Amino acid sequence: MNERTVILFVVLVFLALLSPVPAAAGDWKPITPRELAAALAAKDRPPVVINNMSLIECLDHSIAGSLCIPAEEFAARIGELPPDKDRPVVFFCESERGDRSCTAAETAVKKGYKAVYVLEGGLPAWKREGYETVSVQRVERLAIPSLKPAALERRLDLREPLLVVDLRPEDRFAQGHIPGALNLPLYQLHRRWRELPLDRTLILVDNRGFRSHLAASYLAGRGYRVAPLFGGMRAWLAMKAKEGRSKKAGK
Amino acid sequence: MTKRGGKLPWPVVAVLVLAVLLGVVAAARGAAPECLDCHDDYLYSRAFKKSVHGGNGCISCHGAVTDAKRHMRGEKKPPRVDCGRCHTQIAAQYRQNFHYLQLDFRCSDCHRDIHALTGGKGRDKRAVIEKCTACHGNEEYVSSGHAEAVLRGNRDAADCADCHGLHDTRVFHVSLDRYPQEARAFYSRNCKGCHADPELTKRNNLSAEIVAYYEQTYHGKVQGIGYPAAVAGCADCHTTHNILPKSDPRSSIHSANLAENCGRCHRGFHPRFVEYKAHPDYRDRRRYPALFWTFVFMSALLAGTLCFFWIHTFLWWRKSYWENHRREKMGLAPPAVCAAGEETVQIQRFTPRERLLHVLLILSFFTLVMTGFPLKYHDSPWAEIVIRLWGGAHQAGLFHRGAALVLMAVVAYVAWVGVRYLFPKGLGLRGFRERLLGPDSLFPNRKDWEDMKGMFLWFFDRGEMPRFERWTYWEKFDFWAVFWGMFAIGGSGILLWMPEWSSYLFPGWVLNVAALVHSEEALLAALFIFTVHFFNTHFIPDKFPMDRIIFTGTYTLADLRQQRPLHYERLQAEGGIEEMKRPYPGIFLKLLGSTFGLLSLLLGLALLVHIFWSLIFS
Repeated sequence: MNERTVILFVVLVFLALLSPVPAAAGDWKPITPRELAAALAAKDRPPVVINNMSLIECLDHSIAGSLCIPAEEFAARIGELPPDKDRPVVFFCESERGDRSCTAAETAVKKGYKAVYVLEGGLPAWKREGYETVSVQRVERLAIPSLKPAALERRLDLREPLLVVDLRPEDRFAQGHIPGALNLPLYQLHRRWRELPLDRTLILVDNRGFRSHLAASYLAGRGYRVAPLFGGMRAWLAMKAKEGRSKKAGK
Repeated sequence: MTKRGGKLPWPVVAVLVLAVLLGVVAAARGAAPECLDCHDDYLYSRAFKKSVHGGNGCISCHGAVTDAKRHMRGEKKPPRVDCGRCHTQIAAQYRQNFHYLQLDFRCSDCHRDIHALTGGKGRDKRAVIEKCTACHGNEEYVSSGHAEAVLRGNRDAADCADCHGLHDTRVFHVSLDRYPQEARAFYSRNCKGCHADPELTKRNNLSAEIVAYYEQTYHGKVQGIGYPAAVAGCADCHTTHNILPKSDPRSSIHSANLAENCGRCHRGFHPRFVEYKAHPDYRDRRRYPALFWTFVFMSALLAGTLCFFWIHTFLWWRKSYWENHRREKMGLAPPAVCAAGEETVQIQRFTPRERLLHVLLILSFFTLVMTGFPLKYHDSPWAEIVIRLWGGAHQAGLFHRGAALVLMAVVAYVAWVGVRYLFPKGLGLRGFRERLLGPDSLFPNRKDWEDMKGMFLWFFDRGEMPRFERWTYWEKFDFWAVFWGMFAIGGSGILLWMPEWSSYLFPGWVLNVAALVHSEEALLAALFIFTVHFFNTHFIPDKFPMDRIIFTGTYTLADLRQQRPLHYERLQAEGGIEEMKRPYPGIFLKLLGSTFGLLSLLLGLALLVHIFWSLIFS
């Protein structure tokens, strides 16, 4: 092997490492809403369908016949899956990217499940295709005005009696949160809502503002004064980034 | 068999059937008495009857309550009402609604007053605002110009649904500042839907042209071509909800807020950058004098140049064609065809370096035309096809800038060669003057003026064709036109390439002027090259369909003597002919030159057709 061949080999290996590889999907496969509907309608070995949202959300709306195991609890509750590891298991959540269901699917694959699927586009895609959901215990949606990040910041500066309740999972909370926020992940809310104080307005913060309205309706129905943060933590961070840029430009 | 005597008379039967039918209909339409036994409050007993749904009975919607007794005992809860059974179109739209897909809102979550809902003519915009702001407490919108107009009763002003959709609300925002491409196109389309409507704008005393003016700017053109990610759409400057007149200090387009407003996309600019006009009317001399006069100048330049050369070209073609016809009739062949022996010796006209520069010029020019004109005529159907050939607007932009660099390098090199030629070593000012005014110079002189007059006389059969030296007047024009073009298009292009940096040299409105100059001068260049230059060098009857001399570099001694007699005589007198002799070009070079040249001509003509199409129909 001459020197040129070695260089060429090294370059090729380097390029191969750099080249975009499809996201490491483990052994789980995507399944379209149409395929899932067909599989559920089949009499022979219908798949076990797992909703990875919180219990409040699962009871509020879900695919008929699905089990509810929040993604955050999935590793601890994997025993609830059927022992037959060849049985198809389909995970879904309400993120179009399937963040929660992908995490759970990866765990299932690691535990030896051989036919693991993630619903492509999540529950929104299922609904968009015209498939129905069922509701076991619907949270009545209430007209609760949301709060924009700038308004929240103003009210925090004025030291109004507010409590920011961060509904995101513990790990996301640990990465960064609004000063003074209390972490009560949504998947625990049905168990721990009594811990929340009744004497002040609760500002509910999730990741993108998609889940906080349901939580707000849930808590408002239990007598709490609540307001969801419009746009969630992302909007808050965007506002902070903008403030940072303005300060920099001002200097 | 029925007994004849037992049969009821037909009027009685008809009355009975009618009674039964009416009873069924009444049962279906009215609130069934057994329902009202429990649900006896005002809403169901009175208000419901007056509502738009009052013509229906309870079971029209709550039809699944088949066993009233079990229902009354609380054993059988009615399932969810399927409003889509009647409202099919709305249901289909709502299936794509963000509130349904992501938040699982159902009809009754917004239409809480469904049992008392009263109808009206069209959409009640105030009700829409009231409904949406119940959750989206958007103070910005409520204090905006749109909301104010709606609350005053203006049915043209935008409510929430006009921009976001009513039952097909979509959500694009990934954060409050940054919009993905789809969102910018979606919202800008909705804004244009009203602000480009002539009747609506007239009714509301708004400019009907404001969208058209925006579409003539760089922002509008780039968005029009389908690359809205990198340029400002309506909401980027006017913001999403805080839409107020620019005289209002709260408005994003108030002069005090412009730096922050522009700063959302642009970084590192001088404060005068904000003097850029986002939708100027270059016909408005009072408000935009610089743009107006630039437009007048560029239009006059374009019209004047093309008029002169198109007339020149037409007369030349007429003269040549008639002349050839006369010769053919007399049985005379053109001198070049009769050439033999020494006459067929090849004489160099263009050096390999000059030929290479011309090839680079052709390649860069075509790239610039094919990436720039789709932007100029972004609303033409062909523009989208051409942009797709480049792999999208982003890549087309990169090619445009790359080709611009190549062309600038070519022109800079030619300028450098020209300067070196003009200043021969050791000859001082005398050398410069001799070179500048000498016969090899491309600098215009009195003879060019005389030649031009002579040509016009020749066109009208009033004299012989002028005897040319090395460079004709139209060749000199071609040469200098590239330099003027580079100053106008290249200069304006550089300003537009880095608009923030440009603001350290010029105020923002100069960018408007630059964009106009860039666009109009490009049109002049393309039309000139694809008509006048193509004819003068290729389509003249003696050379049709093309003259490949710019690729092979040589022509015959007979051609030299016929086309440039004074140059020939000078070379003879100086004894320079021998030095200029070259071998006959190889077949490969001829083939390559012919293929490249012919393809370039065909491409140029195809582009010309499309440009004319856009000029006439856009």
